Order: sequence, then structure tokens, then C-alpha cells
Amino acid sequence: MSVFHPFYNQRILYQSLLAGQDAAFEYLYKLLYHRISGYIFATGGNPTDTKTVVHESIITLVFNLHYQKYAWQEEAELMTYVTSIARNKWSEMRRQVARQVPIEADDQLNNADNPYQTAADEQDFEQRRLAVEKNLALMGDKCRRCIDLFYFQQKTMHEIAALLGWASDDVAKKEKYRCLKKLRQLVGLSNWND
Amino acid sequence: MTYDRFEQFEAYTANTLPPDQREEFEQEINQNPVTRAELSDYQQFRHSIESIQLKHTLETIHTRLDRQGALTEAPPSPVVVRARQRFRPSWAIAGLVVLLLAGVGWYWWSWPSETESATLAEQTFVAYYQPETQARTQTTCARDLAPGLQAYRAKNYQAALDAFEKLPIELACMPYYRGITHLALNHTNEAITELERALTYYPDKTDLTHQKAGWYLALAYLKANRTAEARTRLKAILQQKDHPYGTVSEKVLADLGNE
Repeated sequence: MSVFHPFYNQRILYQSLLAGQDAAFEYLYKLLYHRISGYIFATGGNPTDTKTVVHESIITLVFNLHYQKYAWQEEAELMTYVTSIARNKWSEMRRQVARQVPIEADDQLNNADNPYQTAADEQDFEQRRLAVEKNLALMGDKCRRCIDLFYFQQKTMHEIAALLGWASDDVAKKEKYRCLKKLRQLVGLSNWND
Repeated sequence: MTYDRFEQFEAYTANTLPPDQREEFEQEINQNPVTRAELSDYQQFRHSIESIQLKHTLETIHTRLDRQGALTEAPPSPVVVRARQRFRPSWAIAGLVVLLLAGVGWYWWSWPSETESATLAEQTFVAYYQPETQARTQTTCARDLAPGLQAYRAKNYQAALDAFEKLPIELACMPYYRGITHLALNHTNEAITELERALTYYPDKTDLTHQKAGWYLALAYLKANRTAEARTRLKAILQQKDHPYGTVSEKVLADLGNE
């Protein structure tokens, strides 16, 4: 019987996050929450801020993992990387609300041991995600279901065609493209042109 | 972005582009800043959609941890930290913990190699296993499987198994889906039986069901600590050109190390 948690191994944690395993997200969540909460409290934040920072940091991390913005490094801790994302996210939030905080509180979690420079590479998905979620609700039933079935339920285009009564996989693919174009339009993103 | 370009991005992201087309596309990304910008825009838009579900998952995790009291530890303010640093009994407790961990470490190191191997197999399973939620390829499975598949994808594995077991085993893909559902339910031996049967039912090595069954069977062997059989299965996957699980099988074998 092993007494060590498998996610102590950074490579296993990295691969499990890539594979979307709930257990890996829970492990990361707890660790990040505890690592960042003291810093956030010390700099004027509250539990809601901590929750927001943890959520948005993990969402950014997942983007960076999936699209190779983060390259695996044997010697570097994944936790150090996600903590640096969280710190930047919190700094950004503080700038936005212009909170008055004592500067010395920043010393608790400084950059000295952080090998990453992530701020410039980070994407902030919060606003866009909220806009997408809001506008998704405004779309027609078939479009909404198509996006839900493909991106959330991981159904194949063949299954989606059968479920939504489209004649073939190709028709379903074209409909999905059309729905996404419409969604982009509603969100206010640049148009996709045929 | 045109429809064709969009489909190319979708296939690239789902890792379903044939190797030669993937290589050609990656060259284009490296050389053409317009393609790079389009891909980046597509990835951000796609992640904005997919992260809606991730956000819900994180909310669920938060609620669960909060209920367990796992998030309610008082956050250390500078004053509290200093006060704790002066509290000598905590150093004694820390010392005891160190001694305990040292003892556990010694116990772990002195454990027989067979068990170490079993632990590695288990860890490897945990690292690589995920339910079949990403299958995108057109399926030739029987339509009668739809209710079970729906339950499986909703992670309602017992309902999925109940649905599958009501249907005859001869239906297309049935042993495979029973196998992966047993695996999701931690019925490892049953999973192995069904997945071995799936390989027999679908002997064509280029058949997707055969390929997926081979991968999940390797994982089931790992879960059962049958490392040698897992290695054999993974090596068989590596021998098949363009096997969808070829790359990941190579990684698993590397993680398992030398025999």
C-alpha cells in the first residue's frame, strides 16, 4: 500500500490535469487555495476574492496546458507556476478595484523563487467566458444544444446529427460552425467569414 | 475564418489530423503569422466556451471542500504567524511528525520490490485513466447502445452498466462498452474479461473499437497490478502505425521504466 499521494509526483499531476481528472483538480484546488489565501487576506482580500483567484488561475492554467503555452519542465514545480498565475491575477484584480493595501504585505509571496514570467503570456478568460455564457443562453435551442453536446458532453458529430435530426455528420459540422459564428457575433468578437 | 480553416483547427485540437497533415500544418503555423493569429483566436474562443463547464466543476469542488472543512483554516495573518512561531509545543509536534514521516519513509523504502512495482502500476493507472469522453470518430456501434452511452457520458456508470447488461452481448461494441463501464466502476476483473472479449470479437487491428479496447485493457491490467500483461498490450499498440493511443502508450511504457 502506498502512503504517498500520487499527485505528489508533479509529472503525474501534470498528466492528470491534462486528462481532465476531477481528483487532480481537487488536489490542485486545495493546495492552491491554501497557498494563496494568506497572501490575499494579507493584501485586503476576502474569501470570495480567493475563490475567484483560484478559479480563474486554474482556468488559465488549463488553457496553457492544453495549448502548450506551458512546457513541462522536470525541475520546475507546477504549483510554483500556477501560484505565479494566481499572484498576477490577484494583482490585476486589485488594480481594477484600486484597493488601498499596505505595500509591505506583498513581501509574503514575492517573485524571488519564481522561475516564470507569466504575466505577459496570461489570458484573462473571465470576462469573455461570462459574455459567452450569457449569449449562449440567448441562442436558438438547436445551436445551444449543438454547442453543449460537442464542447461539454463530448459527443461525436455523428451522435449530434442523430440527436438534433440533421441529415449527416457534414451537415452537423456546418451547423456547428454557423452557430459558433453567431455566438461570436453576439459576444462582439471579430466575424468569421466563409 | 473560413469553414475549412475552422475544421482544420478543430481536427488539430482533437488530435485527429493524420500525421503528415499535422506536420504540414505545424510548419504553416511556424512560418505564417496570420495562421498563428487565427489559431490563437480560435483557441481562446474555444477555451472561453469550454471553461464554462470547468468553472462549474471548480464550483462543485469548492462546495465539496468547503463542506468538508478543508478550506476553512484561518488564513495566516503576519501576527498569527509570529505567534505560532513562538509556540514551542508546535515545534514538538513538528518534530514528532518528522520522526513519524521518517519511520514511514523507512518502511516504504524497505518494502519488497513487488509491492513497489504494484504501486507504480497503480499510480500510472491513476495518471493516464480517463473515461471515454473524447471519442470523436464516427462510430459503427449499435444504435441500441445509445441510452447506456448517454448514462456513461453523464458519468452515471451504474445506470450505464444496467442498460448495457439488458442488451445481448453480440451487439456491435457491446463487450467494449461493458468493459470500460466496469473499469469506471472499479470492477477491474470484469473489465478485463469484457475487454479481452472485445479484442476477440474485433480482431481487425485497424478497427477503432479494437484499438480503444486494447488501450483500456492495458489500463485495466495496470489497475490490477498485472504490469507484465499491461506492457505486452502497450507494446502491441506501439507496433500499430497510426494507432490513436500510440503516443500515450509510449509515455506509459516510459513511466513504467525497465522490466
